[in-house]
Amino acid sequence: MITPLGHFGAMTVFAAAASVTLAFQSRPNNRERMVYAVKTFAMFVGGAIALAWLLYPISR
Amino acid sequence: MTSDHAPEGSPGSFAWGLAVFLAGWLVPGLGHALLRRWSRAVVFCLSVILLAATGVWLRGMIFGKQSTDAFELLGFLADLGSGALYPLSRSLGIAADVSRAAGDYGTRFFAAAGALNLLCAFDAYAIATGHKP
Repeated sequence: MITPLGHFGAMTVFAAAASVTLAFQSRPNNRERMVYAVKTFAMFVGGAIALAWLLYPISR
Repeated sequence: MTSDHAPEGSPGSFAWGLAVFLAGWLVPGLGHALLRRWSRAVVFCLSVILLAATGVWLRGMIFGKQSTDAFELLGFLADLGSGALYPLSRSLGIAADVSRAAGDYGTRFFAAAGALNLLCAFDAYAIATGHKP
């Protein structure tokens, strides 16, 4: 394990904190905040996984 | 009330906005707490502290003001954005270890905490001056 959290754990902690903060900054009510936070979190994590697979062929 | 017509120091004025901004920058969430936006204050405080604490835990680099190049200067400015957490983290005296990925991640975590805290402080300023509901 590279970090005490692991790569995925570190990415998840970062994505969760950033997405919740951005949701509370940009949306006025709790329902919209939740939708925004979930979407942003999914984009952070999904984007990272997609990029990882994209770079996988040239990593070996 | 808009900032154009508000008396100095009263809610809506530039001076009030600046005070709220500085409070929010120094202590994450304090700006919103002064505005009685309790949920935002708690979320912003916890998020920024979580990111900064993770950065320190992973032994990331916390840049000093004696930066030697532009990237270090940017890192210093981002770290400084975390307000009181910056001198607090430096005073802990935990040596950075960027020879491992964990330390490199820690550097980014602390910088992200500073950048997010600045965003939160600007958000508090916008609310205090009436630019944002």
